[in-house]
Amino acid sequence: MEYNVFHSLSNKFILLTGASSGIGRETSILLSKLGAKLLLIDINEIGLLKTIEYCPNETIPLVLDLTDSETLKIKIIDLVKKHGKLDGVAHIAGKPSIVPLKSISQSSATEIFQLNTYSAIDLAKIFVNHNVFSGQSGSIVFISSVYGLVGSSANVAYASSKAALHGITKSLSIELAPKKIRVNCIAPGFIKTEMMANNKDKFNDEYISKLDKMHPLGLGEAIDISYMIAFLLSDLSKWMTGSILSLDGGFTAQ
Amino acid sequence: MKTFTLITGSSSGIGQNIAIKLSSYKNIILHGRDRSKLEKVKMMCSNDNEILIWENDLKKIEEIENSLSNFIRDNNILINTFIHSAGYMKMLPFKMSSFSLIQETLNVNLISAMLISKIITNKKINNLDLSCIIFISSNISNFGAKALSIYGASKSALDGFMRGLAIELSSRKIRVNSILPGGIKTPMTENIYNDSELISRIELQYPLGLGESNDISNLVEFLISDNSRWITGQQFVIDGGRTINISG
Repeated sequence: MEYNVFHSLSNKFILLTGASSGIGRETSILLSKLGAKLLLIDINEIGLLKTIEYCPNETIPLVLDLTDSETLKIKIIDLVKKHGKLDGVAHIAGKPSIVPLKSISQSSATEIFQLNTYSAIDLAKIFVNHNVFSGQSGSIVFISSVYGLVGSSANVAYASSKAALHGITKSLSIELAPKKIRVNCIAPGFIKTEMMANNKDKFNDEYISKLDKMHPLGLGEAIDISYMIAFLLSDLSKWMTGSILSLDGGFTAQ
Repeated sequence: MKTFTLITGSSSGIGQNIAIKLSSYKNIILHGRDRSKLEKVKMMCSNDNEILIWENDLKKIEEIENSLSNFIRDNNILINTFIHSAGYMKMLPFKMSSFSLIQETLNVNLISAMLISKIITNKKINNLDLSCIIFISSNISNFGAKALSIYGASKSALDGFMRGLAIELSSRKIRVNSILPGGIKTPMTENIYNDSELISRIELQYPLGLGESNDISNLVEFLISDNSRWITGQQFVIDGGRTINISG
């Protein structure tokens, strides 16, 4: 018998954002295989429906823009009425931004914050609503980035939007502990994603090998993050809250 | 040759819990000072796999390398996973501490972990690539507390060693991580738990309440599995939110 988290996810109903590609897609498929019922959110309908094709268990799609917080709330409450209350949330949707300081503006930074950060707060707020949360062993998982922990240039908006998730994780973990809701955050290193494969001009072989060398165990894969998300959503981690977990092939250990 | 998971400090507490759980799918080396206690733990383990006993006192650091090398050779085995769960904690104001207390704490918590890591990564003695190493550190590693300065220092040093070793062994794909538990009731901490007034005061500082050995062994199982193949050089705090709680 090897280790698996199957038994602890079979009765869970989990909301995932960013489910149309990358880490969001891999995680949806994994959680579904582990028995969880899923509510998958993404703005990209085609990608979202593709993800659902790979999910063996009950899966409910919701196509919308997460930054529209009013609609988000109404739609989730509506779907929960039909399909049951939620046990967990994984906010995986995120927008990269490589913009040097001289080109940044308040409006472009706000756009990054709206998706990466403010929608995390919105999702947490909607989730704790007693009409939405099942009331037992709740778990919220945020996905930040090594850039929330270490510095690099042309990254002020993205890095601050991800570092803010660490503050959100810590304060919400204390605020929500009495409700038996745990809040944790994963800070991944560089993951080989479709975005990389589809942008050979930006991610040429030389740049990829440079990125690879920054990680003692090399570049990661989306599924590496998915396993930890599954662990954090399961009751196996029932005493973990407020943690920022670096999953980065050793990037931040050096 | 058969491969084994070595768990130090497995005669009681967290180490014992880890050993019993892993014994259902791994060969286990139980380690402790007292063979009779280890025999009892062996009885609690699954008999689907092989259980060996390495009787050894980690305070006697000068004997560790020889003792472990001989143990590996005499049993004709290989070790592919090492979990350092042995720990020594004595709460004492620093002014009352002694050289021997400092030495004993460092021997058990830190130096023994270094010497065991040295032996099992030596291919002449343990001829395979280790899969991973887990150190059971403490959430005090990154913080301060009264009467725990020496214990805290030993755990901070252990985590420093963990990071360095993780980088050095990454080219062999050997992963090294630490788990930093908060307060768990074990024989090591039972003095604290027996003081009901003290423990209820401590419990208030834990947003999710006090933990159990099982909470720690669940994370150990995740970190030694292939599901965590990209995770190395990290501290995993598991303490019910204790160390991020400043609500007082």
